[in-house]
Amino acid sequence: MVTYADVRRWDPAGLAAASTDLKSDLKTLEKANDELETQAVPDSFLGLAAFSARALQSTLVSRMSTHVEQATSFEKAIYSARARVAVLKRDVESIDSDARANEFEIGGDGTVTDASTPLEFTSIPAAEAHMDQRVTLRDALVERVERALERANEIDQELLWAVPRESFSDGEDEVDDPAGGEHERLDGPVDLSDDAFDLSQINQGDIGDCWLLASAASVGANDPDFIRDHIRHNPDGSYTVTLYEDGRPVDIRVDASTIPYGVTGRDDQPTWLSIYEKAAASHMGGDYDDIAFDRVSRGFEMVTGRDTDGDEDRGLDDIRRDLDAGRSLVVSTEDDSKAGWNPFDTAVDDDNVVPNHAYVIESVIERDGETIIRLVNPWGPDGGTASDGHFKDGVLELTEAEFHQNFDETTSLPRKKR
Amino acid sequence: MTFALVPSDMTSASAAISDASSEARTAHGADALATLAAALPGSSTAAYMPELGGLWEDGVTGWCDQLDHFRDSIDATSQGGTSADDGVGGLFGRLLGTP
Repeated sequence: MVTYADVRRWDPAGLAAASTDLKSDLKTLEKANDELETQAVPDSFLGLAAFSARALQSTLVSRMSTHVEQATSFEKAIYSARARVAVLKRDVESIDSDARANEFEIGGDGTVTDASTPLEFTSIPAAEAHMDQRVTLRDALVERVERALERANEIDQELLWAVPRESFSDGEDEVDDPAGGEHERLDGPVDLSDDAFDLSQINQGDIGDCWLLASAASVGANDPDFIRDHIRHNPDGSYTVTLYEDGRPVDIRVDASTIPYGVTGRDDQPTWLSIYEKAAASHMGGDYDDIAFDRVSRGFEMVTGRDTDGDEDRGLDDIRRDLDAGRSLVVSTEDDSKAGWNPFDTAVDDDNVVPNHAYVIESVIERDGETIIRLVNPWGPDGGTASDGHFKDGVLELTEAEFHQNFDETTSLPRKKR
Repeated sequence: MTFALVPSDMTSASAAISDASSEARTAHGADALATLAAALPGSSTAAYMPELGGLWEDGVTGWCDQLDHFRDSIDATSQGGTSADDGVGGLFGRLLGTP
């Protein structure tokens, strides 16, 4: 990830120079290639040798044309980035200037600290008002620094996305793409900003992998940096996702493409979860079918390498304490009540709840004197109609009694590694 | 298959290939990529530019080397103008397999 100190040293003029130099080089190569194409084999040259010569000429021309074409696209991306870097650079200078004017210091890692001389106040309210003002100023600077870093990382990822993939490539790099669908290349890098980890962004496709999506989404919502540290966009356009097996990290490299019936975001576009889903399919057997149906604990352990705690009947007060402690929580629903007679009444009672499913526990709140739990369905915020013909909400708000009537095992993941 | 060539045309072709090769060798895309890397310190793009630059240098140099072999074959064909067509065809055929 780019740091604030890095962005301070970014140089739009350098990008302009790189773009100009590259353009000039590509013109030279294009001219050489044109010369080869038009003059290397004269029309008067006939026979088998001439035939072979023309075949060789065509191969060489095609190889250079591919390079020039792809490198030209990259040059255009550099030129386009130049303008954005120039704006970013001005913003960073403005942030630094405002920080100095208000006696704040911004460190190389983007940390904002108050560097003002302590004042003496004649009253506590005056001191508090001054403190509030300093906090407001600091928070505003923090937000501007975060936005600047987000934009810097976007520019970086977009440039990396534009790097030529096939020019002079030996084709030896292989990815571990799973079977089970026609893969379509992404239009650009998946979004890894904080917004991308909002629980409203899960929209499960036709694969029965709620156990994986709920656990990964729960971790992402709780600790976006953890996911950002475990998904790497490679220069060749592929992604490497670090999953865990028996607590040990396993790197899975997959192409930047998705299948049409996999998980998406709310806008039906692929997300970081699409890449995780693909990596999991590759890791668990090499086919999307291999990730259908499993336990939530397996999802948490595969995503984080950490052990989980399971509780068959966890109360809302305990769940609230878990959330306050920074834990990620997913709860499983009971069986389908229509599946047959069940002496232990472990069946979903509410038609609005999807049986044999996993929901992310978002929060526990108090409303009108009652404790309510908010649960997010991986089907997405708009919900959907299940095979039983009943509509299932995307977000559930349940009382303690309703919760216990429909849900059983709560799986809880600690934030820090034990 | 009829074999025919005009020696002066072959000489011009050889010179054109030679020019193309020499010209392409003056292009140093890696320098532009190094400039780009220097302009974006700390970025993933900058980190990849040395590798990409090396790939491009090797690619362009390899392409120019192939052009030089191509020119040598054109020269050899021109010099042995009346030699067996099949034999010369084999000469180019081998080049097709050159990486």
